[in-house]
Amino acid sequence: MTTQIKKINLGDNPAVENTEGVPLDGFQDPTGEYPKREYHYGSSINRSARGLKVENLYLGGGSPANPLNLEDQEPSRFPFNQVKETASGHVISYDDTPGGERILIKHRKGAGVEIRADGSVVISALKNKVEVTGGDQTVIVEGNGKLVYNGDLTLEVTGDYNVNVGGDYRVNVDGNSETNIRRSNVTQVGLNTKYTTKGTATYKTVEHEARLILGNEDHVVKGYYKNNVGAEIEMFTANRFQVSAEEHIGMSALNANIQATDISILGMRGAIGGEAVEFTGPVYMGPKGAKAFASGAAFYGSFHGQALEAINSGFAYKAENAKTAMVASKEKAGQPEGGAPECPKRMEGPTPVKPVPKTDAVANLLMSGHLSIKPIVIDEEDKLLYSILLRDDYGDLYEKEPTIDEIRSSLRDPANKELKNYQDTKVVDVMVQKNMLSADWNVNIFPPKVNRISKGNEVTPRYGYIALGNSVNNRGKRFK
Amino acid sequence: MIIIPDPVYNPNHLDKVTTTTKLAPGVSISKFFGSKGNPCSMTSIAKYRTNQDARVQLARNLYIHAELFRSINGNVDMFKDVRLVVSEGVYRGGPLELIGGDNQKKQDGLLVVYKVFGEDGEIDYERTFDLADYWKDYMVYEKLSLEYDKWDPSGKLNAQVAVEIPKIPESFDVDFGMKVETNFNGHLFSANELIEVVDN
Repeated sequence: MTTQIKKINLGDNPAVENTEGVPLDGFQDPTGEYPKREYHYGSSINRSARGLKVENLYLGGGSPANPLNLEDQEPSRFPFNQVKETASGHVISYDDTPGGERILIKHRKGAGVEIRADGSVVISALKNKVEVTGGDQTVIVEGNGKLVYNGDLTLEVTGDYNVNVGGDYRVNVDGNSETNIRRSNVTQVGLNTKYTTKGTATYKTVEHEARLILGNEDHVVKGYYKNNVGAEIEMFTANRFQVSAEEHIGMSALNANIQATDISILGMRGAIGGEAVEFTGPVYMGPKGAKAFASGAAFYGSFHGQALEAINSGFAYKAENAKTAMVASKEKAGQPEGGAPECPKRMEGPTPVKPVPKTDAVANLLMSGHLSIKPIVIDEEDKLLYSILLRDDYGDLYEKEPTIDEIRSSLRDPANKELKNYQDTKVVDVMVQKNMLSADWNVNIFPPKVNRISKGNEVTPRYGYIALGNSVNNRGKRFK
Repeated sequence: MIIIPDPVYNPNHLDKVTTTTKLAPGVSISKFFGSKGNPCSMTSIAKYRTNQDARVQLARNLYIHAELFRSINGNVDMFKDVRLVVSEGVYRGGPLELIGGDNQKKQDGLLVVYKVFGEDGEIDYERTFDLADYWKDYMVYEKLSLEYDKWDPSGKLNAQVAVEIPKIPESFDVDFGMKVETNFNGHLFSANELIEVVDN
C-alpha cells in the first residue's frame, strides 16, 4: 500500500513495475528483502550507524592464559558512522564517533579487518588465511608477541635461519625432539651446561672425539664402568695416579712393566714370581723380619753367594771350616758370650702355600678365566661405521635416507647410476629395494600419454597476454 | 649477445657475495641453495667457502636464473596461480662423491631445475609446460629441458624444467645455444621440441 499510486502505461510488458509511488511505511522493495526484520516500524538508517548495534569481527576468544587484550568498542553515535551493509550482511564501516573511531570491513560470517580507535588492527579469518609476499617482508613488533597454533606448525626456510635472542631462550617439548644436521654443529656456552637424561644416553662418534678440560673432571658411576678400546690406552698424570678396588684388581697382559724409583709391592698373602722370573734385591727375609734363624723364611734351590750361617748344608762349595762349623769350639772376640748358639739341626722350613706358578699355569691364567686377557675387537670390518654412515646402503652418495627429489638430483650424473655401495651392490638397486625408487625407473622410456607439442624453432602464439621483460626472441637485450 | 644486467643486482658491483645477496627483486642466492633435491649452504661447498671470486662467478651465473624467476613472479597474466620452486639448485654432492656430469654444472650455477606448483601444493603439469614454452620463447638459455619421470614408487608423474646456461663472463657477453628437448625417465624423448606428457 502506497501513499500515492501513479499508473504508468507500459504496454504489455509484465516484467516492468507498472505502478510507482511511496509506500505507507516508506519502502517499496520488489524482492521483499527490505526492510529487514529489525528495521520494521523504525528508522531505515543502519542500526550500527545509530549506535544500536556494534559490528564486531569473529575472534573466538583468547587461548588459555593468552588474552586478546582488546578494549570494548564504543557504540557509534549518529551521524558519525558511515555504514554500508549489503543484503547478505557484509559491512563496511567508517566510524568517526569521538572516542570510537574505527574502520571495519566485515564479511557477513564475521571475518574481516578492523582498525580500532586505539590503533589496534584486528584481522579475523574464519577459515584459512593465506599471505603471499613476492619480495621481502619485515615485521616489527615493539611490544610482546605470541603465536598460538592449535594444530601443527611447519616452518620451511630455504636459506639461512637466524634466531637472535637478547634474553633467555626456552624450548619445552612434551614429546620427542629430533635434530638432524647434515653439516657441523657448533655450540658455545659462556657459563654452565647441565644435561640430565632420565633414561639411557647414547653417543656415537665416527671419527675423532676430543675433550679438553682445563679444570677438573669427576666421573661418578653407580653401576659398572667398562672401557673397551680397540687400540691403545695411555693415561698420564703429572702428579698422583691411584687405583683402588674394594674387592679385586686384576691386570693381565702379555708384557707388563712396572718401574719406579721407590716401589712397594705388599700383600698379606699370595705369590710373586714365575718359572722364569728372576728376583734381584739386597735383602730377602721372612715374615718375622730380619731375625737370624727365626725369620720364618725358607729358600729352596741352589744358593750362590755368601751365607753367614748354614743351618744344614749338604754340600758347601768352598767351606774351609765346614766340617767343624756345627758347633763353635771356642769363643772369639765379638761373638756372643758362651760361643755360638745351639743351632737346630734339620730344621723344617716353611713350605709353600701356593702352587709353583708354572709357565703353563700362568699361560692358562692369561688365556682363560676372569684374569685372562680379554680380546678387544671393535667394528673390525667397519660394519658399524658403514652402517652409521649408510655406506653399506648408499656408498659415497648419501649419509641419510634420500628423498625422491635428492635421488633425482644425484642420478643426474650417469656415474651415480652405476655407483656401488660398500657391499658391492648398486646403490640404485638398494633404493629400488627400499621402495625409494620405482623398479622400472630406467626401463620405461616411453611416457604414458602426450598432449601439446611446442617446436623449438617456432614461437608459440599467445593472445591477450603482455609479455614481461624481453620481447620475442629477446631482441630487447641483444646488442650485437 | 651482451646482456645488460640490472645495475641494482649486477654481481660485478658486489664487494661480497653471500646467500642473502639479491639477484632480482625477491630472489636471493639462498633460493638456489635450499632446493629439495640438494639442500645445502654456501659454506658447505669448498670452492665457495672463502673464495669471493668463485662466489661472484656463481652470482653471475645465477643472475640469469634469477631473470627466469623475474619473468614469472608478478606475471599475473599467465602465472598468477602457480609457484616456481627450485628443485635442484647448487649441488654439494655426497660425502665422498666425485661430482661430475650435470651435477658439476649445478654446482657451478649453470644448471638449475625448476618445478611448478599449483595452489593445491601439487605439481601443476599444465602450467609446467606453459612455463617451459614461455621461457623457450622469451628467455635465454643454452638448453631448456622439459623433464618428466615416474621414478616415484607411488607412480606419480614428476614434471620439471631444467635450464642450462653457459658460463657468464664479467662482460656478460655470451652466446646462448637456445636448444630445447624433452626427457622421460632420464632418457631423451624428443629433441628440439617440448612435448607435454600427461598421466593416464
